[in-house]
Amino acid sequence: MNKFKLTSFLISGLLMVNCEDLMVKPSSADLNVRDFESAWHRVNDVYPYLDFKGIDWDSVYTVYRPLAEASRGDEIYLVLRDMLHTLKDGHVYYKTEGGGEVYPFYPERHFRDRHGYNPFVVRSYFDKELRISESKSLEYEILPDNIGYVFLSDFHENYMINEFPVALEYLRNTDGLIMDIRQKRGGDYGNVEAVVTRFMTGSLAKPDFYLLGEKLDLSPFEPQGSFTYTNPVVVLINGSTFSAGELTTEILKQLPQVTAVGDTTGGGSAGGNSEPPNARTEFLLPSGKTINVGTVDLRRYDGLPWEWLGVTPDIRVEQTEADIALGIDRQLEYAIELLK
Amino acid sequence: MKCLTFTAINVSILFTVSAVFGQIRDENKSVAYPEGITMEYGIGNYSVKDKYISEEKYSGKLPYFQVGWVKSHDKYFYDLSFAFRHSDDVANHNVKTDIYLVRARQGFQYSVADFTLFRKDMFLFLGPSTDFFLFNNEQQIAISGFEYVTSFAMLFSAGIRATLLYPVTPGISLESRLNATVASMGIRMVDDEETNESPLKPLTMLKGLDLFSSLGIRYSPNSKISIGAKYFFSGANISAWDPLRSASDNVAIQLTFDF
Repeated sequence: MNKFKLTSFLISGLLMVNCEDLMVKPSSADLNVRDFESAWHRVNDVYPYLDFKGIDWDSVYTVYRPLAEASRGDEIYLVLRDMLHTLKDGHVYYKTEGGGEVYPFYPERHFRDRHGYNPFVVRSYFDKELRISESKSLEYEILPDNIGYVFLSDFHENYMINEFPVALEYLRNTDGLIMDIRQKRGGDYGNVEAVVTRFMTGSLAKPDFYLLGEKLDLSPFEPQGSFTYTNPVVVLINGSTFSAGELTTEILKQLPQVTAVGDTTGGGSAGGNSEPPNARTEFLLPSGKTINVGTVDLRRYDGLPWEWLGVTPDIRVEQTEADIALGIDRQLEYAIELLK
Repeated sequence: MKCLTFTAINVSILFTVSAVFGQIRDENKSVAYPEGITMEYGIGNYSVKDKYISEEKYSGKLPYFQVGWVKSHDKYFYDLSFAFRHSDDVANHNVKTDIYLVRARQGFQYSVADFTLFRKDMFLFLGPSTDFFLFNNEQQIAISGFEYVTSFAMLFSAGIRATLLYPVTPGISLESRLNATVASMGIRMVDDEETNESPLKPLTMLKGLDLFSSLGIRYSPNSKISIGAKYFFSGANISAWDPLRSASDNVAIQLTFDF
């Protein structure tokens, strides 16, 4: 029995060697080519800016199809990344099975300006703490000289629909208002509408909206809420203002009391729509990976998309990371002086 | 699973045989349990399949550093260890991932049986342990610099630890250890845009297991210092969320000082 014990002890010890390969087996499915085909066709079918950007999508197929065929395992992510990068669209991403959005491209203007806004520097211009909304999507307070300030960080969910009226009510009696939309990534059309209509005294046509290539006939914006804010408004923008933040800026710029100050926005106007289902931006590939490609083409009031072009300020005020490091927010200071 | 089965069989045999044949432990026998501070360095082949971010298997070399401390008390030995592993060279073909592993354990080892093998004494120790396991996985693909694919898992566990010591000569002994988590509180990254699944769950060993087993040899030239070499296997299987399974075969050297 002693020999039996020792033998079993040693044998099982030896058998543990190379357990690593036995316990974690390679994936059996290889769907890389099908994933590639599905992704390529999705972009070909729905992406609105291939012509605008002068992208020959057929040649992209010619280049990347052999790479997809040669890819092994997760190398398909590299093929998808490089193929989607050719769109140079800050809305486009791919997603792994469990999460993790990977953006192959982000606008250069974003990288230039992403440190051009600092909430701590902004706070140094106040003599009291800023109020923060429940979802933390808004912070607002009144500056000296009775100038209102509101920072809008997130146009998703119903944050602006629910919380912007509360902030605007607090700022209602100010002599001017600074709307800070720097560092803004994206959101929903309904939240944009909830903000811009609070500054309108009459109807305003909506900017053109193309869904899967078809121009939609949209009813104009109408004033909403218990009052309209008619005092001067400065909208602060920079290269990190993106997507829904850009749409908000473009609409507000049409109003007589609004001046956009700062720098040209990032430039992303490809959106999506919940209906029809094919207009949703997220698209499932055969293996379970997801790609996100815009199906909606939004336009500025001059008829051009703001994709790549961005929305330009009425008054350009440059701000650098070095300014922020010194505790100076030149764009905010300019806005304050303008509203005094 | 084959490996787990054999490891389980091994432990079962040791326990069963000892009990059946009535080899009662002799309180007067000296126990050569290695006390003091131990430093270990090793390297192993590591494989992981983390379905939160990929269906694919990632493999590569993963270094291993551990510091441990063992202190004897009247009825038991107290054992504390901390291990860290990191590599940015674990890959699926040309796609690399950055792996961080942390394991911290403390346990109590009671001498529960001793028996004779080839006319030499063999000692079996058994006791509870509390364990911490951290896994972090960052796939190295993104180029935008601030969005990347990452996944993590943690286990806070109650476990069991068994140690078998077989002094071959007065200076040389064989050692085998097994540590397995029994019940855990697990934390796992979840995609909160896709699911309402809780990132925090209580787990049995069927859903959250961190396993370690080793077989090694130790040479003690005197009572204050010993050196050793061992093979060890470590693996984790967390299946209550997107499954995570990892395993590694390793070799390590160890140096122990007793004060």
